[in-house]
Amino acid sequence: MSEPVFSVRDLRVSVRTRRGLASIVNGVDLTVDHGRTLAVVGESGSGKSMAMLAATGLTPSGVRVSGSARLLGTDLRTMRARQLRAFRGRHAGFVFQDPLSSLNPLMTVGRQIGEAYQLLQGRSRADARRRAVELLGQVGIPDAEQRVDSYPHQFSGGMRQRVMIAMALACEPELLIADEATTALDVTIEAQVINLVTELQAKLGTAVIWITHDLSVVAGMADDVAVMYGGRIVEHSPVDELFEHPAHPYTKALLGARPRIGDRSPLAAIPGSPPNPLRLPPGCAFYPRCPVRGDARCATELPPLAPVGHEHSARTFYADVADAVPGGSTS
Amino acid sequence: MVAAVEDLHVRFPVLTSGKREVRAVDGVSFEVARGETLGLVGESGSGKTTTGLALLRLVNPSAGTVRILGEDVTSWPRRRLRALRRRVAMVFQDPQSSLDPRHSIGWSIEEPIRVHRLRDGAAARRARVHELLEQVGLPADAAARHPHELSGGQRQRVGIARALAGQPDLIVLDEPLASLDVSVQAQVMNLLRQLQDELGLTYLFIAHDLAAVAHMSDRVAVMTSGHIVETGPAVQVYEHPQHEYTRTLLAAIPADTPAEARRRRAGAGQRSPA
Repeated sequence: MSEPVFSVRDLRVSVRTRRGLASIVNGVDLTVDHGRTLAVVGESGSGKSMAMLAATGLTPSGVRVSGSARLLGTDLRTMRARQLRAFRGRHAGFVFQDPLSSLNPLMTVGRQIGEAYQLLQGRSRADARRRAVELLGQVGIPDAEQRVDSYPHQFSGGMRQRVMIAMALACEPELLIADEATTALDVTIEAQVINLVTELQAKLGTAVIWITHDLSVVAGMADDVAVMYGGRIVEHSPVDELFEHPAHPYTKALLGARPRIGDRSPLAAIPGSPPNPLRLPPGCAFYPRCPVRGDARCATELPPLAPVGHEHSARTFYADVADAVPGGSTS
Repeated sequence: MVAAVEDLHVRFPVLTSGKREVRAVDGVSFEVARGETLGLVGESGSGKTTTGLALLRLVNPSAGTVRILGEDVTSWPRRRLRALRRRVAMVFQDPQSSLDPRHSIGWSIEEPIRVHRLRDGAAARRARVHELLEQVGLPADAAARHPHELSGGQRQRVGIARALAGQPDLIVLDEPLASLDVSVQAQVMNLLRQLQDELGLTYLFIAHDLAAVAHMSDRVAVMTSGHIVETGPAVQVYEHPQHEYTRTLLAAIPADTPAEARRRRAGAGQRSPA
């Protein structure tokens, strides 16, 4: 088997705050292969964004990171800052939630899209502009030849997100990391952006990590899913298997709590709220909210991420317990 | 009818370009009957939030009428707005920014009771605060806490308690789930439905999440570009959409399962039209 495009091993991230040490990521392992999409799903505070920022060296100073993160076989965590910037710029693209705060308002979108291409690949300014026009066309922006000289505020939210994708793809990266890339967009625009990424991925063979809080987006576009809770992966599975046979009580509860069109009976709500990274429970982080609540062992001992099926693993002692709440497989 | 809106228009001037104006709401009519939930669904910029704000006169209509319990409130003078906002209450999207961080939860819930002079004396007001806390499923000791000490879901419960304080005839819920964690949204939906059953509340539920709107609403009105393009019982609108825009919106809802996503792709993303 060839080496995966991106792999993360035992990643840990913590931040010292006035109120103590916040353990945000507590040992995460992930891999994503050429042409595949891995969805990382979690709520606020689950550590999903911080894990990916830390793995690619984008965390602010003051954040403690350990573990390894290999992009195309090279460990990003041991590289020097200047070297890392160049390597990351060439091989990884990023799309964040809010394109307005990721784009420079004083620079035309064409210059921003072409900048990395020009700097990292040593191209001329004219080449960079041509590349920007080509990319704007690829991401479906009409009149790319004219729009290349527009400024970010002259685009709508959905179009700006397309500009971000064009920018991320400028150097044809092997890895694309999208962090809540469609969360701020309307559903119709969200569907367009997801289709766009899927098409470009099919054409370029990019490996995609799609970070989201929204399980329903995942159903239509991911190959594999990692569900995060309390800074750990609690379930990892191919997407079909996850929806048909969820194993972790948290995944089951999330799928069961979704409203369904045509059914107005009370929802199987999950009590409580996600854990505070300053005060993670000693055992399973979901124990205080868990409908299965096996025994005292769950409260004190951290379950390992153990296989429960083909390429499917879950961090629970109770993977084989019959659904406490209805699963999400019927429709 | 608790609320009857007829040919409502709200226009805002565009400051940067002379005489131009934005027609945020452009001729909207609907009614809400006692005890029902009308879902107002649309994308950003559709005018759904502005419509909600106009019901409380938090924005002033440019034309049209808003009747609350049969009275046309569009012409009410400023001094009567306080009375209007007791009859029509609002729950906002982000409880973090709609609660004063300097005041305790108890103070914030007591505020509408004080403003509308609903209870005489501090003891009676405190008793009412505790009753409201209990109704929204918060412990009595939450009264002494401050907003930053609560979770997002708990803060939204406080927002709901404030809205309940004046026993309003209509509650406008403006994207009440949008800033909550996914695992908490179902709790808040259940709470809103339960309060409606117990207290006979009437809701205008404004949201962009079609599944949540379907779950919460008896009837649905679909809004785009300042117009309501389709209205009807929720099941009928979702299963037999009549308007092209409703169909586009429904087709964009993410599939529930990978199998459903594949079925849709095979059908070229088209749902069978009614």
